[in-house]
Amino acid sequence: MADQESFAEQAMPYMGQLYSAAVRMTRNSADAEDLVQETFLRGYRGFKGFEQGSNLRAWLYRILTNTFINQYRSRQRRPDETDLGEQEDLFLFRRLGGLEAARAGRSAEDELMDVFTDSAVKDALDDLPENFRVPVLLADVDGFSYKEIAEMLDIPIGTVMSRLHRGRKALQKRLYDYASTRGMVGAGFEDPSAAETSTGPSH
Amino acid sequence: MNSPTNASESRDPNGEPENPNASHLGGGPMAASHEHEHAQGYCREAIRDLYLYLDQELSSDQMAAVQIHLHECSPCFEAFDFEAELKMVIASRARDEAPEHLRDRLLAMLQSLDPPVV
Repeated sequence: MADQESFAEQAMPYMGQLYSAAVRMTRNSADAEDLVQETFLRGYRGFKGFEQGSNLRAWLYRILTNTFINQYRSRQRRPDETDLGEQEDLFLFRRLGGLEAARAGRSAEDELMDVFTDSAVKDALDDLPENFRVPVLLADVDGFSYKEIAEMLDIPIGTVMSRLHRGRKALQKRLYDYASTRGMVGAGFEDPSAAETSTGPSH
Repeated sequence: MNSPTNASESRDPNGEPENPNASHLGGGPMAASHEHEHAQGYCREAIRDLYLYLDQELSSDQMAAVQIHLHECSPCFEAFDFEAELKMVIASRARDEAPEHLRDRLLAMLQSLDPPVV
């Protein structure tokens, strides 16, 4: 049994991560603050049920995710079932995989870090419908396992996997569209779907 | 107009890399050495398991099998490397700093709830 008095001390180190996840979920900093506050309130009230020694971070994220789904989702007008489209696997690699080869001496990570700014990645994530955005966020940004995500979202692991699969491909499509509209996908890079999109202003 | 390189467009919609070399932007130096007739099935399995591998959701035997394939197959290795780097970039780019006042707001909220037991 966990002592409520120690809740603030134990939970506060996770405030930053929870807030960041809350911004990605709500796409709004004011809602994110409210969501974190509600998470701390519920966490405090339920802390007697938290088993000391188990994973407090996952426990708090579960509260955050549940609170978001139950309270904030209904406020947001965007429909869940936006058509994601269907992308091939390795969508971005097939188009940008040669970046590091074309500019020798740099790692793929350096190149990708250059091309995709914070706001590009955030916008691409924010643009995903919530059903896909939340699992992708929990897996790729926060590093939770499929089992943990399944518990947080109260869905089967197979559903987590299929949403991750589709959500990641859709995310890659959005990142690619970002890069190509900014002319970042330039000469020398194959663009099998639309050659004309790669002729934007070069940087 | 379409570029002359878009033969890969007609690949099956699953995106299964029946010839991973086709995705390699004109074919890297290792394209020619990739004996895909032999490796095709292994490549397909590896790409199918790519995210399970990166997400560390495979058993240790399955992880080892993927690693063996990646050791032997440069195109698949490059694809895995790209996805791993992309995953790291996404994780590091998608963070927002909490505003300074949030901590005080949370503490004030907690203190206002229950009078301290002490």
